[in-house]
Amino acid sequence: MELIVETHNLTQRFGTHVALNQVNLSIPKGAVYGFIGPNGAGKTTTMRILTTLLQPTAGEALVNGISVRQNPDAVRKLIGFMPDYFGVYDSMRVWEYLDFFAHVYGIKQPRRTSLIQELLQLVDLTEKHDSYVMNLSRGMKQRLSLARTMAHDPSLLILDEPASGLDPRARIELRELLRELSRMGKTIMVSSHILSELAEMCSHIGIIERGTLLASGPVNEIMHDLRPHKLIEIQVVERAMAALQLLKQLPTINDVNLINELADDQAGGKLAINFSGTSDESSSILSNLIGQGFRVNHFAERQSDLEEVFLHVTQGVVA
Amino acid sequence: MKAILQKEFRSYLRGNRAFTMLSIYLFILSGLCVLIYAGFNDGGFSDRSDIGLALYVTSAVVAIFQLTFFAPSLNASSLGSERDRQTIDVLMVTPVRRYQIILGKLIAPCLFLFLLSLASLPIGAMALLIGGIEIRDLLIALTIQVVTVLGYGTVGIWGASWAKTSRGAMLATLGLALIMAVGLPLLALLVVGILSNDEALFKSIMNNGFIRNLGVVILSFSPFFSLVMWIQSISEGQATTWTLDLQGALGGGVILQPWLISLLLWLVLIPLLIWRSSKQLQKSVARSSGG
Repeated sequence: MELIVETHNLTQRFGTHVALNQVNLSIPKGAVYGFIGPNGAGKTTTMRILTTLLQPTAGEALVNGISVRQNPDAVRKLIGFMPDYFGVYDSMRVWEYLDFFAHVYGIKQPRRTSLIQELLQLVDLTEKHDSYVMNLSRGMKQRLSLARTMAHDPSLLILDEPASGLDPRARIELRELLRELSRMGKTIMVSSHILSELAEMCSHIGIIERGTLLASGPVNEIMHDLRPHKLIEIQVVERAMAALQLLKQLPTINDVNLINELADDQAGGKLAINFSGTSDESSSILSNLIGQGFRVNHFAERQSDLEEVFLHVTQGVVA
Repeated sequence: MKAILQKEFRSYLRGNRAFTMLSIYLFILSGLCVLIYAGFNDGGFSDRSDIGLALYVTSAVVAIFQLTFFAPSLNASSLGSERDRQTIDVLMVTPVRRYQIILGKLIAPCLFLFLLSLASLPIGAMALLIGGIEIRDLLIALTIQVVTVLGYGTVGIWGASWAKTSRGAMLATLGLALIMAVGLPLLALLVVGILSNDEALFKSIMNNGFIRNLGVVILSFSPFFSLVMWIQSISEGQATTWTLDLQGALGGGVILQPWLISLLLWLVLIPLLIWRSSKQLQKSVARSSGG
């Protein structure tokens, strides 16, 4: 697995305050890496180190094998950065904004003109070519900002809270755009508070709290590692108490509870099973119940979501 | 750097700001010159060269006065506004080097101010036509203006690299400009006034070449001092381009013309301030990371 971002014992102190504490981060090429953590956890600090805006106090950060400390100029050519705010140059048109940044990245005319068209097409702002940047909506500004980060065709996009302050429609558009960029082979490191969106979009996640990286890796692995037990919900039409007794005797079941209160022993009800077996073993639970004459009208595994994992791992403490 | 220059120029020339500044500048300058001319006209024309010299002095002093305050504030806001608009981080992650950002931010406002200087040249040319001054006098006044714009402009950029907002940077650098341009000569006048009460002490200080020359060097930070010393030389008919002949009361002897000292001082200081500003810019961006 080829890594585009690596940090080794990355540490950042501001006076006596430790913002990052020996963070070891790995992001493979082509990944969409969701960086999650409460406010003040160290997400922005990590991103500012990777973008060469901040020199780490200790440790090392590499982008595509290049040290951000020793060769920041080379790193800047590889990254596109979108901070958690959108700075507007007054009296600048959309095309001038992109032209300026393309020029800064050393792209010469006439390539710049065609590039601007391509970028505006990518972010669906072609019709805003001559509009003033300050007149765009927040969602459009965010898309324009994303187009700006793409001006020099970087390998790695670092996006700090890109969906912050956007309305639901703009969020969906941004998410689609990030998916498109991912399909184009870009590695995307994105921080966000909206975990459900990250779960849909990310191939990898990192969870950070109080400057310490608590978990990092592929989403599925993290989910599995942090929630090794499956939760199965069962609804029986009658004799829920008897079903409970039966399930308690099965060896693959760690724990079983009634979810709702029963009117009497013959009443139906919902059961929750904490289960650590395989898929075959879970299907044998169902056949066991049916074999014993229970009428089952719901049998489903409840998926752990990112929010659940996040709450499980973090303590909600801000550094 | 070319991209930054282009962007800055575009923002200066778009909108009413450039037109308004140029209009105010020329209105004040030409208005005062008309008043001077009218004043001479009312008193009866005694000597054409007096009118020429008066026009020259007025245009040069007014130009220096305006540039002394425009240069630091315009440069401070040029860099400070990047921080206000939160665009500095985005600019800093591009391959543009820090000193190129500083240079781009310095040169664009300075070129605009040179345009103001050039716009006042016709008034100087009028004085030249009337008489009383030479083309050399015009060039020296222009040099003092250019040095003022660059020197005080760099002070503005340096201040902005420290300040958290452009308003803070503007206020701080305007204060510094006021101290350098006006405060230093006033302080010198005060010291001379106090010392002249004790003739023996005054003479001993003025005869001490090191102290006197150090005083002249420090005063040369003020463009008004350089200009006034030059005007005094030409009005006394003793002007030599490069040197200034001190009178007996000032201990006698010959020193470099203050405008030349000022030019040499800023030639050393400007690169130093640009270097310091580049370093400070990196530090202040890192500081804003949450430290």
